[in-house]
Amino acid sequence: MSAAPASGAAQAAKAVTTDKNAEPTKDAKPAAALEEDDEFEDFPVENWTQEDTEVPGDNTHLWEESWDDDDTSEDFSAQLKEELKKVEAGKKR
Amino acid sequence: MPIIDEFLSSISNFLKTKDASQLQLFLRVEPPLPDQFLQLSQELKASYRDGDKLEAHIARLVPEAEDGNSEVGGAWPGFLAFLREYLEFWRDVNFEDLLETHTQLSNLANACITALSNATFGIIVLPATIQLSSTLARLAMMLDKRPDLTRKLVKIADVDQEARKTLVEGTAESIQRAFTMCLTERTANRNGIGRDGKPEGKKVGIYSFANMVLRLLFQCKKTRLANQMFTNISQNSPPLGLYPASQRVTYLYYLGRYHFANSHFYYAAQCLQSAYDQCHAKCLSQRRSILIFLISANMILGRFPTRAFLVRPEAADLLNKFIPIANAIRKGNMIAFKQAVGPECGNEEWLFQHGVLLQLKSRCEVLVWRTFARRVFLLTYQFPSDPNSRRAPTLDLEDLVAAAQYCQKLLEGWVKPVDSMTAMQAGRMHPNSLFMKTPDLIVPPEGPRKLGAQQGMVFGNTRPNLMEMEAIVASLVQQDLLHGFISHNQGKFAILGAKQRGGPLNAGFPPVWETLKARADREAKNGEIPGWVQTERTGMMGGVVNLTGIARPVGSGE
Repeated sequence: MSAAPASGAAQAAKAVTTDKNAEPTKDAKPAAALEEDDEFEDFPVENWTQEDTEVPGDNTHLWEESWDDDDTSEDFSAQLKEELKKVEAGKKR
Repeated sequence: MPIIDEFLSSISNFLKTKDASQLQLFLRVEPPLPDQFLQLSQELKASYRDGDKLEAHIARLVPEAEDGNSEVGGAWPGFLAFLREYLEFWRDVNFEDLLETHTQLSNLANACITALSNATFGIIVLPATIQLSSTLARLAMMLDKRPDLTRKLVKIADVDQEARKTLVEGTAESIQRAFTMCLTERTANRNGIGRDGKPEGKKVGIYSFANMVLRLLFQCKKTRLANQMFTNISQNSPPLGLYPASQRVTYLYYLGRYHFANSHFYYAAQCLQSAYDQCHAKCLSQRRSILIFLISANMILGRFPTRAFLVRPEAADLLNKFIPIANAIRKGNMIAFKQAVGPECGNEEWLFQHGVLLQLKSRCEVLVWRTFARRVFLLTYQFPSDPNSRRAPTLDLEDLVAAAQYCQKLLEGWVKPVDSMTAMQAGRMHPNSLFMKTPDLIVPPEGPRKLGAQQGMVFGNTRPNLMEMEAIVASLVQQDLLHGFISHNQGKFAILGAKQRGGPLNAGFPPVWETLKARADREAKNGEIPGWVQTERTGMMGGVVNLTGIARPVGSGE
């Protein structure tokens, strides 16, 4: 995953001048290899703005709420229709 | 100067200057670490085998703060105990033995949380506590996936002859203590918001700890333990919006999953939609994790993902898991639905692993029944020749029975009989075939397929009958998914309000999402989703007033 900028960088850079116990590049999180497909990963950055969340493309029609389908020409409907005709015939008899 | 002395005087300095972030940098435990930590460890091994000697040395170099003077920083007993624990950790730790490391780290985190509890100075170790707890949580998660390492633990538990908490659950409990401390801290402002508009004092740590606990509880499948946490958050937390984006998104993801697991799909969809909208555009893995539950919750509520998702990289491989289900619902095709959530289509295992299969199976089937009834109505209803006819449009339940029985036969593997006439004419159709009745399906030579309880139309190989269809229609009416009433005597479902609502289809089969949303809005008490604080708590919410610290027992001498 192309991560957003690393959060620890600025903090660690400061640390190197004032703190000899800290190293600048070692704040990285442990190997992602351990994490499974369905686990919610830690974010590489702490905070971001509204602009950072915007993705290109259609953002207003993500969900279809009216999807009833009146087309009865497909195979399943055709089979049901045949079957229901027989019932109809039976009722009239 | 020995490195331990340097270390301790630096710590003392940070306490005086109240530099919480430097303190956090010094109190690390997670490799990779600078060489100084190794040197520290060696010095401790060489000179401080005796814990009491170590304690005395710490007390010499890290003086306690003056009593009652919170202006000048300094150590306090809880912190000194934690510091001893910290140095002993570096003296004794062996990263080769991860199970033992977990125990040591657990003790260390507990000592740190106790240090955090100090009302005056505790806040300075908040960043360090978050860091330690996070390392502990990660280690516990990792160990949970290594049964070869934790087997030893299971054996010990067996000897004790009692149901012991798992390592992950125990870790969650430890970190929950820090969470509660932050959440219930008494702050100057009752709503827990400081003058700068940010969460006050330790309240700043609420969601860092909450998210760790939630991750662990989901890992050990003890999500019901999160219930109390969410209740307490609802009562005591400043609004979630005041916290950093990563914490907001992570929290809403878990809260959404919690509601999903508790069948509150409308709440779940709202939490997850908000998490998805607030997630960083480049964090594809997280966006994908959120989407799995968001799509599932929305499907159950009658909202299907559109093609707009096709261009989103995080959704690329997700759509084909859900589209077959959506298509089956659209058509009311129960056979296609059973296949879409069954082993035939190859998604069953994936959906199960991600914890959405059972909900999709049981909840979406209701929607298939709705569309199935709609389809049968569509195929059988004769629009009246007189446009002013006042007769209510009806669906004959016998038709529904016939259609359901036909579907049941298909599920059982019944086949079309071989047409001997066509066969004899080398494939040419009988000229009159258009006018001939299609032959009934016949039982396959090997007999009908044995169906599991959920693989049949109603239950396994049970043949759907009138009573069952009436019950299903009644249930759909009760859920507002069908609009009308059943005439038991006539064996019919009659649609109400066809004239006013633009025809029998619109009136009898209202859009699912509209119906479920209206019901959820009706049932919502104050519009707030449990566990999600969206507005300030003013202290007038009727919560319990906490009197600890105010009402001391008589004669307690304080």
